[in-house]
Amino acid sequence: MTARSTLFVLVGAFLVLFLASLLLGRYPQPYWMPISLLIDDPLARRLVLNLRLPRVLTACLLGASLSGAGSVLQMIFRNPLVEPGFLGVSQGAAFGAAVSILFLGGGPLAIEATATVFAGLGLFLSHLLARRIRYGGWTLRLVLAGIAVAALFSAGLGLLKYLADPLTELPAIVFWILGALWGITWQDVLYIAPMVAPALLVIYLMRWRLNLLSLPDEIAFSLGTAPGRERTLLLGAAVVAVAAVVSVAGVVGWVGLIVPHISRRLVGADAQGAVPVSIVSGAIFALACDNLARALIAGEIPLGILTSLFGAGLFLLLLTRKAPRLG
Amino acid sequence: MREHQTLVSAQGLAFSYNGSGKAVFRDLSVNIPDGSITAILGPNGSGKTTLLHLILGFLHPNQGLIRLDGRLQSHYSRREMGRFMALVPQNEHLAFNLSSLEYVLLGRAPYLGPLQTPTGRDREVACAALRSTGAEDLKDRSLDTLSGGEQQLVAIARALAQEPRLLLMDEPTAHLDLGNQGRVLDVVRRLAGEGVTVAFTTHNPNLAASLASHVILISGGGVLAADATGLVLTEENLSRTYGVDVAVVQIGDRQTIWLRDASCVEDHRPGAAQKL
Repeated sequence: MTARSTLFVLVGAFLVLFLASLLLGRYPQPYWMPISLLIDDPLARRLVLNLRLPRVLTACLLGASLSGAGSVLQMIFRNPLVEPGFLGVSQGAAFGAAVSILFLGGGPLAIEATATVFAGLGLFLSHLLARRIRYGGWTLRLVLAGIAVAALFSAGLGLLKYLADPLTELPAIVFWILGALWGITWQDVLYIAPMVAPALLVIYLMRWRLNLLSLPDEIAFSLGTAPGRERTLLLGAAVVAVAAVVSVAGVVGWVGLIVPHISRRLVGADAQGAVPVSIVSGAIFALACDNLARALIAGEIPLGILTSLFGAGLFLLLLTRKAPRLG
Repeated sequence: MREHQTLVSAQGLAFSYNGSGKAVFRDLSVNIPDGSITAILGPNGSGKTTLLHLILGFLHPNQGLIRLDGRLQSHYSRREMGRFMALVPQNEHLAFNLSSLEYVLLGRAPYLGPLQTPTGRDREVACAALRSTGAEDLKDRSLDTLSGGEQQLVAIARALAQEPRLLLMDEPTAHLDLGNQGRVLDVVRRLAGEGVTVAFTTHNPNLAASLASHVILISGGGVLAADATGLVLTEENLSRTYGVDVAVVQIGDRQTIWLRDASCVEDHRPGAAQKL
């Protein structure tokens, strides 16, 4: 199968899953709502339009952003084990959310705003620090700086958890860090979509150039690229998308690591085919996990736990069996 | 020897890594004649690759000017430079495993806008480039299944897809066995015949003698000699550059360079010399 036909199949599967997800849930009875109910029952209609639709959309944006950004980071850092947690972005967002819960009352918009600000701050600090490190190439310096910044934010987060009220604030922080799409409204969608959509568009349009930017510096340069400028643009797009979705969903791990991997296995390493496949597969993966998170049991399972569970499981499966390259 | 136009001229280059460290070059001036195969010859650590990267524009000199085809290097846009010259590095580590054709297609980057993807015409150029290096059969093989020699041929094809006027090669035969060396040399000679100027670095005077029309001999941060190959590869020049006693033997119209055995410096019997 070529990359193109794989992509068509995946888009088809995605559309089916998207529509099915709207009917999936625990009303009127566990797991499935008959389509006819949408016409007969105004409550069902409102439920689908005001609760399920924004949540399903957010799950798609979340998965697409994390795996699109994951592809970008893996290519640019020339390292298939990198994910958006690098560069201090996710840890910055988590720290920001905790700050908001502790000191700003923890309203949803306040959490989103501070999480975005601190995610951006994480990237900014990583970048600033990388410029000052006098050792190694640019990529290595950026990774080192990112690790240091992430560790600083993790330490800060630990301190905030220690200070938090164990009965009210601590559970809120922990739940946010585990990652969940519980209580997503249209307001959240309208808040993240204007950041996610242009960022994903940039990543999609520049997908072939990612191949060039994954080459060693002097070769990328000899091919007439401006490696520094183009890498910064793509990294910026990746971070904006991740910061936006993390600010509403919390830290959802493994999607950005495992989905780009699977995509390369499916259609080969050429980013022209692998990036769109990664974006669509990410949406499918996150949506499927979130469906389980909200519908499997009466309570809500934190999404981050499910993505880590299935992500790590798939990862082990991939590592232990050698799949032939298709395409 | 026919007088050549100058394709690359560098004047008064001074360069040191980190701006303040030990100077690689203090005052280096070189010309690469148009249509030539020019060897940049020198001992290990003499700055051959640095010079290549300065011409490429990847490194910037602390002082001095570089002109490409009469125009200042700094006046070229990034894409214009990608169309003017291509680089074949000594060895290339790729993090992701592309097929040969996907890899050669990357050479079309200077002809594509930032948001464009390769077209059918780019595919044709890439296939033609693979054909001209004799690597067309490798088109659908993934790079990590290729041998060292095959990888070098595919890397040259990637550079040719840029349709460059100047091909820069860093130690083009360093890791290759005799058969693959021969294949790479054939490709380079054919390219020169088609009008591409080639500049390559080497530490091996015999490679310069067998391939180059011109030699730039660098040593100690400056140019020791630069001229047609026969005029540069003399016993005196090479002995000074490498700090060992060197014999140059004329075989037909080509020089062969031998290392004289230290214990019998005055002995000119062939058995007393050791080929470099």
